[in-house]
Amino acid sequence: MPDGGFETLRDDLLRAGMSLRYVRRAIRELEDHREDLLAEAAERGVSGAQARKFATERIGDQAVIARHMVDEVGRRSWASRYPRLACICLPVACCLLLPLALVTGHGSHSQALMRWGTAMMLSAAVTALMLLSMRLAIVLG
Amino acid sequence: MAKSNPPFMSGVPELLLLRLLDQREMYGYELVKAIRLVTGEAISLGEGVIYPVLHGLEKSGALKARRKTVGGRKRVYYALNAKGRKRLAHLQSDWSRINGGVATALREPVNA
Repeated sequence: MPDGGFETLRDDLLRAGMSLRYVRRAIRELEDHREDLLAEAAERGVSGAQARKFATERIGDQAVIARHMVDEVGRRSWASRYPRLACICLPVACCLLLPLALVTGHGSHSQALMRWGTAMMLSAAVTALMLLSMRLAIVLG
Repeated sequence: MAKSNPPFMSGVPELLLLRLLDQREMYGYELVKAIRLVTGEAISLGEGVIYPVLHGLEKSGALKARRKTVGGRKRVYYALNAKGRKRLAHLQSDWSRINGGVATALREPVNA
């Protein structure tokens, strides 16, 4: 376990699909707790690395905390609850609808808008592919 | 550090947290200290494990959480609400029944 931060916990929770909002809140509470433990150690005359070790041991194993959080709370982000929708359906729908909406909305410059829309569609497709590969990297560890 | 006792801990942190929060609102570190105090350090948890239990109780509607600044520090305070009181009464009754049963079993000679 790292001597201080909650990076392991953060990574485990995000990998389990917990929402970023929940992860931030949980880590903030644990950081507050850690500060209190460091203050307790200081009152006992312990400081520096010893105090950090004391706080880390008292908080416990981050992997165990992460497992409990996933079991007890299960606040998963919508993208992790509906991965196909988030990673495939939504980007594809955006790619199709964006140029269509522009062309139907401005009939007099439809040629130019079509070219612009195609360019937008391609760039959106590239972005979607990048996001999908990032998502897969997170899921597959 | 006191020895932890995970096989017998199922449901116990929840019961203790609800019991303590029935008296007044508290934040995580305060709750851990109170658990140590009221149980005479017989029950020792990895302190971080208290947060999933609190968050689970909050999600189920038994607790209400609010961020409050006290002494220049912002903390999340938890308070029991009506649903939490009902849950506490239910858990207390379960615990008394189980505790009574185990106490009887330990007192009587085993003739099974």
